[in-house]
Amino acid sequence: MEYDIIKEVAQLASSGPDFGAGLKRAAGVILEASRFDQCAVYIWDEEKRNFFLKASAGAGAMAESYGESEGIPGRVKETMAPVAFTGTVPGGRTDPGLAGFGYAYALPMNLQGSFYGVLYLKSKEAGKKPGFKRDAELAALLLALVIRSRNAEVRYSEALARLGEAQEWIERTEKLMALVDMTSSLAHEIKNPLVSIGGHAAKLKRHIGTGSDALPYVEQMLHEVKRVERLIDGIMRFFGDSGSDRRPDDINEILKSAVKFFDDDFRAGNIKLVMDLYHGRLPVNADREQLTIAFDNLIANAIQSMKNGGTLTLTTGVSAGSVSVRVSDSGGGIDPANIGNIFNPFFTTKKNGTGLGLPIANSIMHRHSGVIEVENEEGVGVTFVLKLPLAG
Amino acid sequence: MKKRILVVDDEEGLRLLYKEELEDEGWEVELASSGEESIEKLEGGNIDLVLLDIKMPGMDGVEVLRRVKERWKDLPVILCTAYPHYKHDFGTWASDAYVTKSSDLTELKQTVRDILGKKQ
Repeated sequence: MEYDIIKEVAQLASSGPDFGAGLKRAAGVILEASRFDQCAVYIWDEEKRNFFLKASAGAGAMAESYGESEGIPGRVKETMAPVAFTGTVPGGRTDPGLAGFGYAYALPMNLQGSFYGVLYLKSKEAGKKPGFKRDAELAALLLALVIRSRNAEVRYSEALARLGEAQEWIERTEKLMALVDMTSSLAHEIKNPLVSIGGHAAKLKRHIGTGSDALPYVEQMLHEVKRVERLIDGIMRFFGDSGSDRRPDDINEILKSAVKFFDDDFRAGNIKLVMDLYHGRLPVNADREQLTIAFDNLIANAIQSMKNGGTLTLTTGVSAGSVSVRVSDSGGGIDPANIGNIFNPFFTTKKNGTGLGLPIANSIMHRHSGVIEVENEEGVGVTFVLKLPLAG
Repeated sequence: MKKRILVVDDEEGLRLLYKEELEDEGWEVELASSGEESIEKLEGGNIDLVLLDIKMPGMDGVEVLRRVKERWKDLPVILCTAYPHYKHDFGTWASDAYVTKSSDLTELKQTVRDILGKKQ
C-alpha cells in the first residue's frame, strides 16, 4: 500500500501542466488505501491567508475554503500537528465539512518548516481506523514534496518570462541608444554647414543693403536657419551626455537669476509675476547652467501659454528631504488628449516649437535625481512641480 | 600693427566666414584646416589669438589647446564648438573663452574684442 501511494504521488510530481488532475488521482489512491469515505487536499495560500480545496475524492459534505483559523484545517495550522475529530471539533471550532461524518483525521502537509496545506480524511463511521496513521503521514509528506516542486516549477517559469521581458527591454534600449548616437552625430554634422549657411546669408544681407528687392528672401533664409539651429541645439542638449558639473547651490538663487531674463517678456505679454520663495536657503547639488535651462524652458512655456496675459506664480518649498519648485501659469491648462505626450521629444502644439523644451527639462531633472510632476487644471492653468533631493 | 587671429577649423565654409567677418572687424586672420597645421602656423610666430574648433579629424581641438598652453602659455585661445553644453566643462579650464557655434557671430566677435582689446 505504501508502495502504491509513493508511486502514484511521485508520478504526480511530473504530471506536467494538469496539476489539479494529478492531485485528484492521488487523492483517490489515498482514499482507497486508507479506507476512509472522503479525502480532500486543501492548499494554504500565503498571500490570501486562507485554505482552498485543490483536489478531492469520495462523497459527502466538503467546504470549498477555510479561513486561517477556521475549522479543522485552521486547527492543524495552529498546532502544526495532526488533528482528530471524534464528535467535537478541537479548539471549540465548527466545521461545515464535517456534516454527516463520525470521524476525521487531518494532517499538515509540511516540509522543513514550510507549510503547504492540509490533507483531510473523513469517515462516516465513528471510531478510529486502525493502522492508517503512518500511511497518512507518508501521504501528507509526499504531497508537500509535490506541491513544493510544483511551486518551484511555477516560480521558475515566471522567472523565465521575466528574463525574457528583460532581454526584450535590453534589446529595445540598445536600439534606442544606437538611434541616440546617430541623432547626436547627425545633429553635429548638420550644425557646421548650417552655421556657414546662416553666417554667409547674414553677410549677404549686409551686402545687398536695405533697399534691395532681394532682402525679404535673405531674411526668410536667415529666419529658417535660426529655426533649424534652435532645433539642433535642442537635440544636442537632449541627447548629449553633458558631463554635468554639480555643486552645492541655492535653488532660490538659481530661480531668481533665471527669472531676470524674462523681465521684458513679462512686460510685453502683460504677465504678472508672483514669487513666493521659501524664506531660507534651499540647498541642492546642482549644475546651475543646466537647472537654469530647465527653469527657462518651463517659464518660456508658461509665458507662451498666456497669450492674453495672466499670472505666473513661482513657489519654492521643502518637505520630506526634497526641495520643490512650482511653476504655475493661468494659461488655460493642457488639453487632456495631449497630456501623455508633453514629455515626448518633438511633440509640440506650437507653430514654431521644437518640442524639446519639456523633454530637456525632464532629462535635466533626471540627471539631478529629481522629477517633474504635472498638475493640470483644464480651463485654468498648469503647474509643473520640480522636486530635487535636499542637499545635506 | 593689426592683431592677428589664427582660425582653426576643418570646415572650409566656416574658415571663410570667420576670416571675412573678423577682417571686417579690423583684425588680420590666418587660417589652419587641421590641428597639425595650426601648430605649424603657431611655430611661425606672430599670432595674438587662436580661435579653435574642438571636433576635428586627426589632432583635435582639445589636444591643440593642451600643446598651445604648454608652449605659449600666455596666448589666448577661444574654443568654438557645435555642442551647446560643453561650455561648462571647458570654460572652467585651460581656454580663455568658449563660444557655441552659431550663425549669429555677435557673441564671437564680442569675445574676440574683449580678449584682444584687453591686451592693447
